[in-house]
Amino acid sequence: MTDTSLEADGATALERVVTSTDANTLGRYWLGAGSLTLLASLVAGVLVALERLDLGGAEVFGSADEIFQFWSAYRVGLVLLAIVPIIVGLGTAVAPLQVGSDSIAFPRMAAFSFWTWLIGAGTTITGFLIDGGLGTPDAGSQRQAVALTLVGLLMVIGGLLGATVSLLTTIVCGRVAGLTLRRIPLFSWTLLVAGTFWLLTLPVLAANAVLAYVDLRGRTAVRFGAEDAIWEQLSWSFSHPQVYAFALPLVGIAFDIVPVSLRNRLANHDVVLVLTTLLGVVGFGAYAQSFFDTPGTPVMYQAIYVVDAFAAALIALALFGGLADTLRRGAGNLGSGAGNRPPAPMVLSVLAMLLLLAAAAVGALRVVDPFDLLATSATGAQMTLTMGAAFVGAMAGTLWWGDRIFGKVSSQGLGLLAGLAAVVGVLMIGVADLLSGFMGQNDFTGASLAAAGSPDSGVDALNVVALVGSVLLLVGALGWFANGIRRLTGAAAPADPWGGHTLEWAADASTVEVTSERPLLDALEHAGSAS
Amino acid sequence: MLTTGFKLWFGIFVAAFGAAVFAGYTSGGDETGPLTVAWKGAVGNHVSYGLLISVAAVAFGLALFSIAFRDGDAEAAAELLGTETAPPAQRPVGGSWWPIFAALGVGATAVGAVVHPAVFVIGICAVAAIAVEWTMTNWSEKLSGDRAHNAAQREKLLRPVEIPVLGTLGVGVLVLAMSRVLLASSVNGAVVVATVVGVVVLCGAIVISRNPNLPRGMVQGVLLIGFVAVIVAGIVTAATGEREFHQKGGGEHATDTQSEDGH
Amino acid sequence: MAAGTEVAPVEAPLARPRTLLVGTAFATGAAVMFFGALFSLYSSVRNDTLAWGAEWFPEGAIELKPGGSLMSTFAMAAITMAWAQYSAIHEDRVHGLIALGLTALLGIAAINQTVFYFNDIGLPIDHNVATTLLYVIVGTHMVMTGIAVLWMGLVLLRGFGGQGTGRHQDLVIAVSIFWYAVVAVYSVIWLFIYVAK
Repeated sequence: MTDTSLEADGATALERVVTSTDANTLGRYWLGAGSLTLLASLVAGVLVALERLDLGGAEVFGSADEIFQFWSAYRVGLVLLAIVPIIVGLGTAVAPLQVGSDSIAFPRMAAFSFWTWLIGAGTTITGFLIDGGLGTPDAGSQRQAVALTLVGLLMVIGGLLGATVSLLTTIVCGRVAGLTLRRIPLFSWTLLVAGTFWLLTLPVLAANAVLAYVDLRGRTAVRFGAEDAIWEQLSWSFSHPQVYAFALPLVGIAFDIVPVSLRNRLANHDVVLVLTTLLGVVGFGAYAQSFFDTPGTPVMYQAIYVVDAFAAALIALALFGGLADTLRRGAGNLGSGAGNRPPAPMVLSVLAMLLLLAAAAVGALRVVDPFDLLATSATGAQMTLTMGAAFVGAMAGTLWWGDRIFGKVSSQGLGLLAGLAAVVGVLMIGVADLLSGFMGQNDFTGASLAAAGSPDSGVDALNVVALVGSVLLLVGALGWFANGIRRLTGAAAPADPWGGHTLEWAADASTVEVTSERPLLDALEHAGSAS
Repeated sequence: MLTTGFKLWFGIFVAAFGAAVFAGYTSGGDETGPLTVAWKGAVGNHVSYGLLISVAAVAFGLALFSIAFRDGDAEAAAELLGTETAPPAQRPVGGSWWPIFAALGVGATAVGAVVHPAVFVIGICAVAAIAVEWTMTNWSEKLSGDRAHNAAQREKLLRPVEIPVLGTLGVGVLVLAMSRVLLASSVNGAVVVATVVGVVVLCGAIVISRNPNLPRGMVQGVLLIGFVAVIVAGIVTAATGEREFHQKGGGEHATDTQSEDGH
Repeated sequence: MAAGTEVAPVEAPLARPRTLLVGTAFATGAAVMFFGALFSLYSSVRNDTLAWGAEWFPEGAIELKPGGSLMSTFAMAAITMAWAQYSAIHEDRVHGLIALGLTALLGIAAINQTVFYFNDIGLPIDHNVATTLLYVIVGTHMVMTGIAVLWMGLVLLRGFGGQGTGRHQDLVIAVSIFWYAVVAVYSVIWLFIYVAK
């Protein structure tokens, strides 16, 4: 029973699996579990896209209620069961290394958070599958099952919050001497900013869920627990602008990868710090709860919502510009790579930033009053583009740090292919849904023509495009997953495959003297000038 | 000197407060409302305003912490301790059972809240018990630099509590489960079940005692499977319900019997 | 020699101070955000309801006295917690344990009073939107108080085990951070719900 006896007794394999508190191991758990739920969510997404093709009647699903359950499950799953856990997994494995810490802070709590999240995810999925989910427009779901889904969601939130606290404390308190917060690698920095906003928004989602749950339990709901009200209370968490806060670390991933790939310093490190913080601020989406609109002041028509969307677009543009500038100034160093090709993670990083820019652009279009896009499928387009950007960023991150995390190599080529498939898929979904939004297709189409807004043949064609995009995205995710599986059996990886600049690539972080944000590059240049 | 962390969270505070005031005014607030947290006057959209103010408050608190602890820099820690270099913030702690048990307890609590109050209570008790165990593990780790010594101290303190409690729980669960099985079986069936189970346990014990060299893992596995089997049987039969108990009352010589009409 | 022999132990290695406090600050921030959200929703729904001219809480349902005495309980508990914190920092083990124990006791008393208050208010949770929100907010705050009391109990355990002061003072300060948040949230409940009705 005692913990320390585990090593002494020669613990069995199972014991070691379930008792691990090692950051790297936990990071892999998060990545593995998150990628499985990602595949499940994307399958749900494909089914929903397929259903949308034939609005005459439910084909894939039995009823409009069931469609709604899967449609909402796709969004919840993509955000809270897939993308955020995958980012948390990357962070758990990489951030302690980046700040030079032996362990994640509160390792047992970090493990507890993972298991809580896992059990919560299982409960949530179970709730969805037994005809629960987050309610239905026609009150057609099982009330107990809805309660189970909400409870699972609360555990998911709790697990993510715990993991976030561990991560942030590691980044704040675990740094080696000389590594001020200003000098930490940008992935860690964006985790710090994004994590702060997760701590500021996930509890709000929890509050919404608790309110709905309490009102739902065991009797007729007064208001918040009504079947058709639950999704509306939670949906802010899965749409513009909150998705920016969830996707934010992709920026850090990109800005960590690109300069190293170009063997160059980042020109405006501090500007990136400020811009990413601002992206976090505009990504605080909890204020935009349309369910609680006071008559006369619907929040989505408020100045703040509009300003927010345009600010996000500007920030994304500025960040992309910064990345492009770095690319331009370092282009001369690109040809020196193997086979004269730019490394796959770098390509995917740039594409992820491009997707983020596209997402922010759609977000800005969406709030322009005359276009009347707020309730249309443009909302889904914005969400898919943002989460797609985060996913592609995570793909870049796993290709980049995977050697360090797993100690085994994977196929960079397959990784690049999978990434490209995902990028194309996400773009197809985003563009098609934006256009059909302009044509008036509702965000949730339901099972009838009337519910879909004013569809015409153009919308039908666009929905086919979106379906193909969904399939491509799923294929990309499968390729990524397969590549991850290959890592488990791959050849041993070199310790520092990219010639990294920051502490996670150091053989022994405690011996590195830190005087800037790129200590390893400093040491290299110092050695060069000395000889 | 303002630290980076302070700038980060204070910046978020300023942005959130500004956004709150902006939201308050632009959604139909009056002159004083947004600035006085609606103490005097009104704000328009309460949700936007309230949440942004909450963000501002929390960010302000974090900013204060950050400046007070100088971002938690290693240099600040070393200065506080009066040492050359700061010790690591967190040493690896090795494997631990408590996280997954605690998560299972939380899971039982959560699912129990929906499914059945008993499960909920069991979950709460489990979480509380694990909280104590976990705390004592942490306590023992800070006793000295000698892991074996720490573990020994922890065992010395907690074994006398753990063993009886776990033993009682284990026996209690088994007794409860077996009694459900016997109650659900028919009158003669119960006799058969009790005999068979008794013989199986006895023979198992004989086999184990005859072969002291059986792999420990195997014995553990068999016992675990048996334990789980009994519990599952208990749950299933508890769900099935008990057999019918009849009584024939009447005259002087009436006896109290159990019949099996219902089966 | 034989088993159970005591060896002179090696001094425990130093740990970096304040790590626990930073983690607690983050966690407490999240907890405060939870209640910030509930208060925002409460005030929004209440504003709407009153704007409609509908009733919020039934007349006379909420008495001021119990809420006020709860406030004084929490205020005392904040002071005893400050005492515990002071004792931990100033290496005063006995006072630290007493103060922490008192705080935990006051916390339990507060939960007890809240249950009494609920019975006194006596409205069913689904009486209307107002009571639903009231019960959710006060109920979750009771849970928060309960977590804090459990936490204090665990710190007390370690305190009895000799780890309440000196190098271990962060343990006490951490729970105090969370506890001040508990008291702060209650103050808002008191002003915002019980007094303002």
